[in-house]
Amino acid sequence: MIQDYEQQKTLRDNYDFCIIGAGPAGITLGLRLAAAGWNVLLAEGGGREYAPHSQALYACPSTGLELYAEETRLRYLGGTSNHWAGRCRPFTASDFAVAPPGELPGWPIAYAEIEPYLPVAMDIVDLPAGADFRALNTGLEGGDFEADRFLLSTPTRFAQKYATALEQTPGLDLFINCNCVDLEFDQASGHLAAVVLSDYQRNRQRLVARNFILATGAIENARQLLNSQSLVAAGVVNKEGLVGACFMEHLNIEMGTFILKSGQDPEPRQYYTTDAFLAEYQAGKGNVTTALLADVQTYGRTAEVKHFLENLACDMGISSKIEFVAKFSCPGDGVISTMIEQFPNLHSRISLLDEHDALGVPKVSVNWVLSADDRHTIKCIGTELAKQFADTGLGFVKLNEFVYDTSIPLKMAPHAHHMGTTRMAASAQTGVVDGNCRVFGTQNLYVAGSSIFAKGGASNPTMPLLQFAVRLADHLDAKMRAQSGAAA
Amino acid sequence: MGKLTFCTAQLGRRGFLQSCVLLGVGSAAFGATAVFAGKPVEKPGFVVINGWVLPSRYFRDQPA
Repeated sequence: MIQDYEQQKTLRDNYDFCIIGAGPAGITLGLRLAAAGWNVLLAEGGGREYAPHSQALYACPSTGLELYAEETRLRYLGGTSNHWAGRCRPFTASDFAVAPPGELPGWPIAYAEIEPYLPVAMDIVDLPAGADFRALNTGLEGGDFEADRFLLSTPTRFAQKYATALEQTPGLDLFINCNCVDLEFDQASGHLAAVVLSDYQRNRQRLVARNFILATGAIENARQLLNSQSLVAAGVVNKEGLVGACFMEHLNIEMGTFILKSGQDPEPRQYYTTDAFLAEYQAGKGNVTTALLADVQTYGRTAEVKHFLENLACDMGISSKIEFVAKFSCPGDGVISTMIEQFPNLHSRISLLDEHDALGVPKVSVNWVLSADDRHTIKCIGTELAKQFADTGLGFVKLNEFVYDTSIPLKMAPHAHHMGTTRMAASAQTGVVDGNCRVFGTQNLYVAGSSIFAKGGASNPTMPLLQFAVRLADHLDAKMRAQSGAAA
Repeated sequence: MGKLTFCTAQLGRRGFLQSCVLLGVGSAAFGATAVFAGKPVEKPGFVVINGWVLPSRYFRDQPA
């Protein structure tokens, strides 16, 4: 049943699970756990639709690279799936087998732990059962770049698709406008005892449950943990430690331009780094997309020449004409964009601020920074793609200077893929959650979503995070059944 | 050593080709591309001219 916490505040006292956040991960977990017979509270801070007063709680200044953290997230039912583009590419074995450079480890679990959940996740995002992830084009010669393979979801809007299920699934109580403002940890038992819920008038109440799951996205999951004084006092959370650290994005680099050889297919191409590339260059993964400019695709290359001449003709004065010609940078036929892996690094992180939001919760800032290893990945992908583009006979690539000169600041944009702030690891020394997504140092606090990613890879995170969510639901169901059996 | 940059729009075709040949010979002799472009472009066979990554054979085969 869906209820509005602004009007209805009667909560049951026997919830088996309290899930914070009704985005893709939270909705998936809520529905599956309720379907398994458990009593579930799903608390969504936003309403049914976008509302400025809710969205304002996502204000998050950037102190490093500009992340657009407020604009790229959506704080209402369905979460960021409400503007999801729908691109799906699964993780592969090498995402789990290859450790990142530096001191932090990669995934503590094998790919085989996640692979069986791919069909379920595909079904959740409305991909055809058994469908192959398709390539638009062939790969490049040289073995470094294969054709990228992906499928496009409709895209699935979770609030709409699952509206009936959220309303009618027995055992599931979904409260909208229901904000979590604190986590109360009992150090003696090692259990999270309760969460504190608040409406928009700051009326608060405690909610007790047997298990708790944070599913509010990579920034807010870390924020909830950092904000909990009881977790900090117990030493479960260290404000300078791993909670909030290792924030990762996918890097959309303005790689450069290209000229396509006559006779080549003008359609966009998408390439993906091979495992051989990773091994040879000790670099991260990446998708590279080459797309002709719209004018070139429609009118041919002469359109660009025409634009050049028009601009030249309109520029009055001989000196300015000379300057225009001298500074003219050939736009080429098309542009090259990317979705490149960022490695985990401790300096890229979420931090609590002294300032509080309208609900009395400390705000956070994000310091999104890249490492030298990330610049190495960008440089390798750019230069090797350019060489193989020429070798394959497709044409020629002009790289922007910052691609191969790592002393020059990058021109890039985020992909709104926030990851890594509660990373999965084998121990609390290198991560926040264990292989079953349980927060180290607690018995009943779990995290869902891409904040658990130990590595970012270069796969769009929505479908993989759903694989992890379904796996977590299975694990929690089994855990509860085992406890029930032991109690009986 | 400064970055490898020149604007082709300021040169005639002959000048452009001459520059490319000189660049190719110079690169082969002194390893200029290694200095400018770093490891991934160090491999023989390519030069970077104003960002364009081009096969060096195109220039070396031209008469000076």
